[in-house]
Amino acid sequence: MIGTGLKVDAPEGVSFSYELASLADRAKAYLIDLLLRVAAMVVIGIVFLLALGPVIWAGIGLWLVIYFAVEWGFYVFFELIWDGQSPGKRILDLRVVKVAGHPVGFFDSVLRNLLRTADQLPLTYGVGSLAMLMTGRFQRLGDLAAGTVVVREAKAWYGMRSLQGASAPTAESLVAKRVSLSNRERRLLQEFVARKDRLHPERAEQLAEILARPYAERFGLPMPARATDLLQQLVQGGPR
Amino acid sequence: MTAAELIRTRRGEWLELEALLGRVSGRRRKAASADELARFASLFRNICADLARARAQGMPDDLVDYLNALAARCHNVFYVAPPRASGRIWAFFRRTLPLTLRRNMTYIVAGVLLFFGPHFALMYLGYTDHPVIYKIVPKSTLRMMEKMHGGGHTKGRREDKDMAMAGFYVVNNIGIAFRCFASGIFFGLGSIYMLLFNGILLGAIIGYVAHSPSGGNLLQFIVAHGPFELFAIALAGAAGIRLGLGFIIVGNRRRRDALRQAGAESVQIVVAAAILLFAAAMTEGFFSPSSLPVAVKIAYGSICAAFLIFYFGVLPFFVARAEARREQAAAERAATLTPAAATAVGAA
Repeated sequence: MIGTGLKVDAPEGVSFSYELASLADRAKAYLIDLLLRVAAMVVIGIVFLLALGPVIWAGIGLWLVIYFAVEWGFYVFFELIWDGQSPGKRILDLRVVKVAGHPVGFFDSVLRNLLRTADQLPLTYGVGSLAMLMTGRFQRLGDLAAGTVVVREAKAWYGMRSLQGASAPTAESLVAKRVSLSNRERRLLQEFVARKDRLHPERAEQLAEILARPYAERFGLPMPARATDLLQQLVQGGPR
Repeated sequence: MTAAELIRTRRGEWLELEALLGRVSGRRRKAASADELARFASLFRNICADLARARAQGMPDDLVDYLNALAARCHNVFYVAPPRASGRIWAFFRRTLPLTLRRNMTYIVAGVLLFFGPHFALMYLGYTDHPVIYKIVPKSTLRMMEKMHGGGHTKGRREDKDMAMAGFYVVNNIGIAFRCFASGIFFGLGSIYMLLFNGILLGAIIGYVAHSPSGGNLLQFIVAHGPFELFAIALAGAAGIRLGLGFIIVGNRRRRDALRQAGAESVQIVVAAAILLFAAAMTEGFFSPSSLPVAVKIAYGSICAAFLIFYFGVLPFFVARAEARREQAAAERAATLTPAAATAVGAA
């Protein structure tokens, strides 16, 4: 598969992979959480101002304690009650898991979120972003120390929707194969065909030629005018 | 078996598992019945088999991805950490934390020396009015601190202001400790810097004010919460140094694993520091500025200091020794058994 994943070997004797969340996904989730926190503190502040006129000093003290709890405890609280999700992560279908695929625990969550202080240096998560780009699993420093990764569940769940329709016959036609490709090869070609429309047509054709030539030679097929067509046929179960 | 057959025969179970997953995950787990949990476990194992088959036979990507995602989500729910019961909290403070403290005693001593060494040195210089302290803290700031403690505590402070100051201490002090810890991940340098910086600054101010006419008031103010507050900063710094050096001193482990071990141990220490700081902030907000007699405040501060010496200086050694004895006894028991019996015991 093209892309990045975290492979987990389960005691059940199979391995499965989590799709890792990208820097952009996580930045978006962070912004949502940040907006929520700021909004909550502003609302609480206004309520206290209006309600606690004469004892405003006590209100300020209470507000500071709440601010502290929100600032340092927001992520820990939500990651514990929602099994690794903060509101932002929940909206974007992201989740924090341990690298072995287990859920995060209390201390893991405390550690990865305390280290935000180091990750957000010098500005806008500079250190954290750098660490994410340098590690294979997109981990910022807090993730590295706590042994956690952030995974994406959105793409994984799309299969459910297609399955609830009557998908059985199409699946049957997909597996009817007349040329023998290994699983990895067919996956690679499938990915290419699925993505080719997002490329400039000429560039897609250039890439397709590189991909198609070895297969044309192997199966003794003539190279068609457009290499993309050959790849499409290979994916759909061989030339007819 | 073709993909179509697999989907046809197994789809019912997959949809059932999806529905069940919503009922047994997160907090709802406790509400799920035993039958549901048993059913979930068996469906989970079945879908793992389906995934292995789909993958081995090169079935379509949609299907493999779908099964993979469902199995991965189930794995995450199935292998959940044991629930945190109150018994585990007690066990943490009685056994886990002392053992961690014992293993990291070198770092704790280093943190205490790095913080209190410069702290007391500057306190002495401040008290003797050595000119160097004016280079560290501006004269105007020192005057302000002196004036702040000029009033004495005979009248106490208004209660609502107590509340405001307690809030400020929580935000400021625990925030400093957390930053002191987190900045340690840069090879311990951040923690060392923050320990020295805070030790020097606080030492200079306390020393200067103690020398001035308001000196008595200041000492009266800090004696109650000082032990917890100052020690907790040193402790958080020690945890930060442990974290940073864990990344450098890896022993025979992979660097990644060494860092994770350092993280797991240091976070326990920093949680202890946060608890101390919260207690200190409440004391500093409500008790320290009150009009209670000095003797009460001194007694309270002494009890706190005694507790710190016991819990962080004595208990870790006793718990570690008891643990070592227990392990040795277990090893001796195992040695007296025949090899076959020993294997059987190990297997059980």
